[in-house]
Amino acid sequence: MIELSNVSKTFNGKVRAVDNVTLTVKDGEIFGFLGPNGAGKTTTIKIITGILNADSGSVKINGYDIKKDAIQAKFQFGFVPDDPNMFLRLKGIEYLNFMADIYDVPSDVRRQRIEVLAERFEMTKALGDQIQSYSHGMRQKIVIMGVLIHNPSVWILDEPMTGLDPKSSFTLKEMMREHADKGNTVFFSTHILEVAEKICDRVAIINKGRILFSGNLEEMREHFKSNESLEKMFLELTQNE
Amino acid sequence: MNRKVIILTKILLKSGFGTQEKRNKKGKISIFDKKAVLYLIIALSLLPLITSIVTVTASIYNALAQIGQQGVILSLGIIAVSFVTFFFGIIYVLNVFYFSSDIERLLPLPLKPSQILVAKFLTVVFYEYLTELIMLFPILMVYGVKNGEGIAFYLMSAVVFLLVPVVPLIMASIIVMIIMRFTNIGRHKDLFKIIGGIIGIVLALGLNMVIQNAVSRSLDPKALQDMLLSGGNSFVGVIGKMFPGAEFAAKGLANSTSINGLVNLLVFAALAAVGFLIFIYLGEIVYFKGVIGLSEAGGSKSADIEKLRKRSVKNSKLKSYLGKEIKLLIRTPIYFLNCVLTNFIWPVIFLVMPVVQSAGTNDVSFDMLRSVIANSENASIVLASAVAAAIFIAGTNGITATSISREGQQLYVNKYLPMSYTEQLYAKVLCGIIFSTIGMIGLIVTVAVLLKLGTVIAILSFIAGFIAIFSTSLTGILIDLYNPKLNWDTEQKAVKQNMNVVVNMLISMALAFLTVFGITMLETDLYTTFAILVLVFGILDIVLYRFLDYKGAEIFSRIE
Repeated sequence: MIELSNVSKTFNGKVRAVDNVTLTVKDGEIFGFLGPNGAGKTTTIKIITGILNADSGSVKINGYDIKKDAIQAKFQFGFVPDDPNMFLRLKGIEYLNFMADIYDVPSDVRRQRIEVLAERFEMTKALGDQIQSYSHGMRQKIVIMGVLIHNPSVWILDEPMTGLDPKSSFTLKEMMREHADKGNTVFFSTHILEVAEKICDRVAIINKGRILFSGNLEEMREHFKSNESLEKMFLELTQNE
Repeated sequence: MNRKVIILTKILLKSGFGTQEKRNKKGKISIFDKKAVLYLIIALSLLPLITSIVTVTASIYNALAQIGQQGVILSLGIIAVSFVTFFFGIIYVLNVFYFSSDIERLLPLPLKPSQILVAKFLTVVFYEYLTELIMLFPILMVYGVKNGEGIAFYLMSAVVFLLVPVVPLIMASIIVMIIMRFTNIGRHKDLFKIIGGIIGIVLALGLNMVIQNAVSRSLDPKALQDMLLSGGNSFVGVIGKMFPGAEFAAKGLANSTSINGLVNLLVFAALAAVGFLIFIYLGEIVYFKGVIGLSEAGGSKSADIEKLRKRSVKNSKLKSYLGKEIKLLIRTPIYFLNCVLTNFIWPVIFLVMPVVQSAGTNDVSFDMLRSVIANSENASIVLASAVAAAIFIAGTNGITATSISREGQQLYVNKYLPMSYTEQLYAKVLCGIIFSTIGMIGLIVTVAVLLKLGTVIAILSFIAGFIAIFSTSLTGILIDLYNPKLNWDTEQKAVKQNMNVVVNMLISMALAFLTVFGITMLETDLYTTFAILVLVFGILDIVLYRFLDYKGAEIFSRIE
């Protein structure tokens, strides 16, 4: 479960990137965080994951406060950032082991997970190579594998489908569903409405740092009909892809 | 020549030197660019080398003029430059033709392989002119002035200067192009860069030694004549044959006023032209095939499950994080050359090379140094100097002083990992301490072997030095924490153009100086000195460590 209450963040004292956001992502659901480019999605995610400090408000993950109880809170989630270009000079297998060490995954458990994940994402062959030799999609996959290896209850994914081939994208969506169905939390951002419509249980729409809407898909469609500005954004979101 | 080639060359040169007009916020070009200062420093640091080349050339001239053989200087100079051009050429060609990141942007453009190739070739030729400016230009000038040459000589010199790098570079290019076409070693880009960097350093140090040697020998004209015209000549002859044309260029210059000279020059130019045509022809066939797919992954050596299993063993967070730091440091060429290799280079420059050079000469300075070290009265100073050297090594490698900066835009990753910032900082400091300690061991062993340092002092130096290394490693990370340089696009900027390294270097030099100075003033015996050093640096370590423990995580969390 992720709880945001009255979270605000201002850059350079002027730009309100995140404006008094309150959100609750419950266990057992896939939650889509929708908005056009520059709406504040990534900033919000960075605050949730402890990368940025919020100016005010609080974030709790499975009840642990990201500021006061940082390490415990960080153990709760796995994070896939929007830029998978990290640790490029580590080999795939070294990266996975690094992540497993940081998240205290025992040897036998990680071995089994590495095998299963590598098989499922078709990465077995590439694991002995340095990440810098990977394509964008492969880098995305290795980062996702780095999250799944410690099997966190909360998944936080920033634009996770970008750059994935259709098969891997499908696999990921499938895994998100399985994960949520086991009573876990999946929170992901996207600027593509269609993706959200297909897999989300609930969505929130953010623009200019403010939450414009939060609810299930049925409510969203209703809301679009009655709200003109939202309708415009809906069009933007659909036209984007 | 093709207009596209010229445009491309210009762009390649500009991006290579990074000199696209840097405008400040007001839109004006700032005159006092940091780069300009950097180039000035480089130019100044080359002055001693240029001066010694001038001196050596002048004395060789004097020696050879006695027997009317001064023309040999020209062939020597041209052959030497060709040789250096060839070696640098291999490194440049690998980097510019194959490993440079612009190649992926050039491939989709509607350009012929030869157009890209010629533009890149010209770029490299331009780099080589800089080498020539240091090596060949002084030789030509000294010869011209001493031999009272006229305008014809200088005109011909200009032509020779421009054409000399062409043939060696073509040879280097062809060798590299064929290797890259028919092998897949191009996949080990980083390894190549590291080896290239090491060769470059060895070559520079070797060249320096050769010149130093020549300087000491040039005092005796007879010995010089013998060396150049008899035994040594065969070596020159062999290398000379390696570069067809060099001999013609030299003959042309030596006879600049006669038709014979002009004919020789023309032959030289014609050889370069023919070589160039062969190069273009060959390049059109093999270049793209070697370049395309260089950056592809293509499961080269598929990892088998068994190996993956063996590698997957649980380690502590600290060990794993430290392992990550060390791997990235060793595998990133720029980091390796600047942060790792420097640990070992100091003893080589200050001890191994001078000792090797002085061997077999009448130079007694090292014998004196040995007796100074052997004298037990000096034991305290020797110990203090060893500790000072360890501090210097730890301060100059810049590992901890760039440990935050090196994270660059990826710093955020450290923020979401469930590992306390303090622990991450410890791992970073530890990484610096490990490499500095290895460097210090290298130094102590070198001194022990070459200068007969006693076992007791060696062990005491190791212990006190180890404790002192902690201090400079800690100051390094604190400096970097307060002012990390995270906005860089090439790794070079994270370590080479990072003021934090300079600041920590200055701090370490001050500490090193104070150590030697203080111990000299105190005049204590060896064991008291040891106790003082351990105590002083121990306290400093604890203070710095406590500060990092207390403040480090907070500062780290504020970096956004």
